[in-house]
Amino acid sequence: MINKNKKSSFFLRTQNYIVRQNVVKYVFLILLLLFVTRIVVINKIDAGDVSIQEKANSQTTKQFKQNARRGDILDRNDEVIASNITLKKINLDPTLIQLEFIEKLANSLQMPKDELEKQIKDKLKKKQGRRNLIIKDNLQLVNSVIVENIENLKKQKLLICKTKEVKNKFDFLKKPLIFLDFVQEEKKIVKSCKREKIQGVAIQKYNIRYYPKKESLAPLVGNVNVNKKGISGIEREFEDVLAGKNGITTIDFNKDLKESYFNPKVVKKVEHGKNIKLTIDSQIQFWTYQAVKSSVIKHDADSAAAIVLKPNGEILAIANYPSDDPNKKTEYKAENYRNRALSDKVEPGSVMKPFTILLALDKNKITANDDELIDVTKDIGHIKFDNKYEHMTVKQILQKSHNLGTVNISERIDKEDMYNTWDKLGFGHPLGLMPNVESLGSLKHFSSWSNEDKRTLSFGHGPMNANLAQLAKSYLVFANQGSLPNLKLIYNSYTENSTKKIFSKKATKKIVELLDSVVSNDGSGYRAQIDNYNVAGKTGTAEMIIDGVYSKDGANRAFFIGFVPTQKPEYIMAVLINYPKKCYTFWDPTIRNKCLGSNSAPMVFKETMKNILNNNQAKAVYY
Amino acid sequence: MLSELSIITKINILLTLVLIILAFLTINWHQENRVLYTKSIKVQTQKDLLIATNKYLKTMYSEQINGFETKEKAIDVLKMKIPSLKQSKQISL
Repeated sequence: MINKNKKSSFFLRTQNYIVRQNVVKYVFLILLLLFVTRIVVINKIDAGDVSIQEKANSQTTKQFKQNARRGDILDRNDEVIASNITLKKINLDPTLIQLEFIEKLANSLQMPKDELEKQIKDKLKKKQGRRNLIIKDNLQLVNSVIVENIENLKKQKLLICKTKEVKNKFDFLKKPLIFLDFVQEEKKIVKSCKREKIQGVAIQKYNIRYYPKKESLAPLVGNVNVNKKGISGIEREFEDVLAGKNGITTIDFNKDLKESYFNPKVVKKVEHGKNIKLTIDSQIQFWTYQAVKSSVIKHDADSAAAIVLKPNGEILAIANYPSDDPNKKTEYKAENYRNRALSDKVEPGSVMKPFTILLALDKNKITANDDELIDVTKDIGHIKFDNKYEHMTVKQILQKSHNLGTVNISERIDKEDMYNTWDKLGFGHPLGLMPNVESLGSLKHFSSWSNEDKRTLSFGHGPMNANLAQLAKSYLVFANQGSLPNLKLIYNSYTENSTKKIFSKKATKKIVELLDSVVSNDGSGYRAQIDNYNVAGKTGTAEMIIDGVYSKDGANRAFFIGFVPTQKPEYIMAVLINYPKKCYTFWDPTIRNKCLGSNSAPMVFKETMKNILNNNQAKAVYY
Repeated sequence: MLSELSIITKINILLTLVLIILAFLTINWHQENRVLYTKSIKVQTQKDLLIATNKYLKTMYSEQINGFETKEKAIDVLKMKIPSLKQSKQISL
């Protein structure tokens, strides 16, 4: 009873207690609802596809991308052919550089002051990019005098005096009067001097793909684009091996304390690109390129290519001209990155004659002795008697590169035998060196050959064409006693030893002797002779097909494929010159002569081999 | 003095001390980790610099011996000629 009275007296004493209690209750309820709504909005409506947990994780986790280093390309002696190098550049911000530092800056940059001032002024006149003036680049990573000068300059302080207009402190009181033009705004010019360091000079590092062998190897090695991705040559062909895979590491600031969050976690391990070692010898490559280049210039040719092989099939050099320096990124002509030795399929011409004769000898259709005379007076198909020779020995047929004589011999061979031999020599088959670059060439099946096809095939025309590397490869039979190894371009790759026996030792030896006589004063390859060395080889001239028909302007291709020394060959070289226009006689280099296989391509062989052999000789003497 | 305190108070004091020590140790441990991390970044940078320098020097060596500049200088500036085989033999003798 007493309690009841107490309670009622409490309610009576507190005005509108229930109402007030309800107000507080509802306020809290509304607040709660607001919180719930906010949670729903943040988690579901505003979050989009990313959950709040993921957002939180991304804020507490720092992710670092570790770029993979691109692998180097090396030659057989581990000389660098392509590598990523870090260089430094000096980047100026002309809007910040103090004028007092200009002279010292010019001295540090080792350039005239006027020139520096001009460049800065020119940059300041521009509307865009005014804050970036790369004044020096390609500076060495270490021991660069300019970089050292700039580093020292950045430590120096000079007294810099600046003048600036300052408003009167109490002008704000006159603002309405100034606004109404009753009073002029007063400004004071204040000069302030203080010792300052130079501003707006930065030494920056950057990476480039550098090719120290410049244009001598450009068509083979290729180039990379701005994203350092191979776009041609070896760079493109072996992109997967060279590029490597980028890695990802994270630092998680939200971890419990069992592990340090300064210890980065490897999410994806970086895999640096692997080096590729080529069978190329940079020195031999340089000589080959120089010889090819000078020949194109001398003979006013369209282009040229050459390839040098070791008897085991290793490629020592592949040179092409024209060619560009891949370090000059502003000049890119796809034509100058064309690896003609692999990509151009051509009719080989007379360089195929030794194989026709070798096959006939191997099949005992001829003896190739000096007492065996071939009648070359009767026309065979469209090949006419030339009124020059009546009977020729096989040696003479090769020396003079006689078409009718070769066709006469080919009449003794079956189509099938000829096809099988050419097929075994690798014509129409891939070399497997650079599948994206090389052309297969072609060799039609003998079942589709007419008699004319067989005849023209005997001297390198008709139902076949091939690239220069395939032709060079076929000549390996002369260095391997009738066997043919595969070509090899990657030094550290495993290749199956798949040397094929094609011709007998005896027959091959005989043809080698005959090829030796081709590079003599009586043969067409006389201009490939090298003092003190026996050289064997064969010249070739093939009319160029332009727009599907043989050129009427006498445009031709000059070939020479040879090897040295004759008995135990160390080097096999094939040369192709496209459309040489200026050729000269042997006895007087000022008298012009018609361009044939004999007076352009053999000289490239001679010049290259002379350098290689001289070098070997020098090595033998001094080491 | 300590004997007058109850056992619970003693445990509380001990726990407080342990907590303070642990806090200091944690701070120290984090600091050491940070120093280690900074050092590892420095070492990594130095390693990268060494690799870059090595690559640079190898590339420059390769460029210098590639013959372009050497040959140009030898022929154009020094007016040198390529020795014949006969001459090289004479020199060796």
